[in-house]
Amino acid sequence: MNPETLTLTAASQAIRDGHLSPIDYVQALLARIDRVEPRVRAWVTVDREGVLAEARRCEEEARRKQFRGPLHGVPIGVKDLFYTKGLRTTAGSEVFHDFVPSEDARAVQRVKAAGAIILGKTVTTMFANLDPGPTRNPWNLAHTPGGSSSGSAAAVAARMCPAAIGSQTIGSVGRPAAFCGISSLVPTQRRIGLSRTWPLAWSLDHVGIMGRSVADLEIMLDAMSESAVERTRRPKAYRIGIIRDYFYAHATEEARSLNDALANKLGGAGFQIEEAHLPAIFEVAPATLRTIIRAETASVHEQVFPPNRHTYGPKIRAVVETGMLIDVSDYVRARRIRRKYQSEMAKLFERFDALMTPAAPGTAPDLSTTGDPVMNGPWTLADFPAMTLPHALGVNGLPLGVQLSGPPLQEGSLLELGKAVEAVIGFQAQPSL
Amino acid sequence: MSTEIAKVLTSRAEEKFGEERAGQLRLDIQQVAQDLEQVRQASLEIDDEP
Repeated sequence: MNPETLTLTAASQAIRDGHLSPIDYVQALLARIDRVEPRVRAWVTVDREGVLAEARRCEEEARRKQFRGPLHGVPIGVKDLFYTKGLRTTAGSEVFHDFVPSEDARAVQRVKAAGAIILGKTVTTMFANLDPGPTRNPWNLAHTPGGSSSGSAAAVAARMCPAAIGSQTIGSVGRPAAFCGISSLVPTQRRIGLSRTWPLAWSLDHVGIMGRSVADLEIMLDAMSESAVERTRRPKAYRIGIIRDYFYAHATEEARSLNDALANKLGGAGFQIEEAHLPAIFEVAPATLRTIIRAETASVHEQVFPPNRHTYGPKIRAVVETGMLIDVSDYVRARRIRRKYQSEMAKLFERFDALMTPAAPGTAPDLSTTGDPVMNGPWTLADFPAMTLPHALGVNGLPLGVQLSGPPLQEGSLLELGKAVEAVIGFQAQPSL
Repeated sequence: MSTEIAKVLTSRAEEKFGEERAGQLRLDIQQVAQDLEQVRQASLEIDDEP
C-alpha cells in the first residue's frame, strides 16, 4: 500500500481496519511533501512535530479501537485563512505574518473533533482575492493552480494530503479544483460555520471542501456540517439542466465541446439532459456580486488597510479602495437584488435535480493570473451548493472540470447525483510529479 | 449614466486617496460605475422582498 495515493475514504477505512498506521500515513505524506513541495509550493506552514505527536495519539487510540470520528488519523490541509490554535495564520498577508490564534476556526474544530490531523496551512492568495500567490499547478508548473484556495487544491492534486479545506466568495474553490483535476464541494453557506475565518465578504463567504472523490467530499461534509445532511432516495433518472448561454459565452471552444461530450455521455448512461435557460435577472448578477464584494471587503479592511496599504497586492488594494467609494444605498439595493435573484434562480430546480456548466472557462492559464471565476460566481451569489468534478484533459494535458449545482441545503442529493456522474466520467488521470 | 457615476466616484477617490491614486484607479472606477448603473436600473419592487 502506498499511503500517499489513497483517497480519504480508503485511508480512513484502512486506519479503522488496522491496515494503516496513522504514524506511517503521516510520515509518508511528509516524505511526499519533501519530494514535491519545493516545486509546487502549496504550504505556508507544515507542523511536523505537532502532526507526528497527534498521529501517535491517534495510533494509540486506534489500537484500543477508540475512534474519534470518520476522519480519525487522517491528515488534512487547511487554507491559511482559517484560524488554527497555536499555528500561525497569515491570511496570505505580511500584516498577519506572526499571528498565532488562540482558538481554532469553527471548520477546523469540526474536522479535529472528527479525528483529523491538521497537516499544515495551505497557501491562500492575499486576503483570498485575485493577486497570484507562489503556488504552481501540479499538472504543469508553468500554470496557475487557480485561487484563492491555491495551496489546498495543489496539495490534494499533488498527493501531499487526501483532502483540504478551502473557502469561496466567488470561485475560490470550484475554479482551483477544476484547474488541478480534483473534486470539490461548496455547500450552502450556513452548512459550515465561518467563525474565526478571515473574511473577504461576509454575506458571500463559504467554506469549501476539496478531495479526490465524491465519497471523500461526503465524509468531510458529514464531519463539518452544522446540521445533519439529509439523504434522499435516488430517482429513476436524474434530470440535469445544462446551461449554455452565459457560461458558454465565457468558455473556450475546447471547454464547450468537452462539456457537450460529457452531457451526451451522461444522456447515454440514462441521465435526462435538457437545456436550461437563465431568468432575466441573471443579467445583473455579475454587477450585483461585484458591488456586494467591494462594499463588504472595504468594511472588512476598514481598520487593517490604512496603516498597511503599501503591503496590499494591486488587486485586493483596488477592491478595498473602490469599495470605500460605494454608497450604502447602492449596497442595500445590491443585497435586495440578490434575494430576488436567489428566488428566481431556485425556480430552475422545479424542472431539474441539478444544473450543469463548465467549472472554469478552460484549462489553467499561466502564472500571471489565478484565472477567471466567472463560472462559479453565479452559484455563490445564489448560495446554491456547487460541486466540481474532473472530467477530461485538454490538448495541453491540463484537466477540465464540470460544475454541478443543486437546490439550497440539498447537499445530500447533490452528493448522490455526483457519485452517479463520477462513475460515468471515470476520470483516472493524475499529475506526474 | 455610468459616466456621471464615474465622475462622482472619481471625485470621492481624489478626496480619499489623492489625485495620483485616483488616476491609477481609473479603469477600476469605470467598472464600478458600470456595475452601479446596472444595480440602479434593475427592476425591484417593494414586495420583491421575501
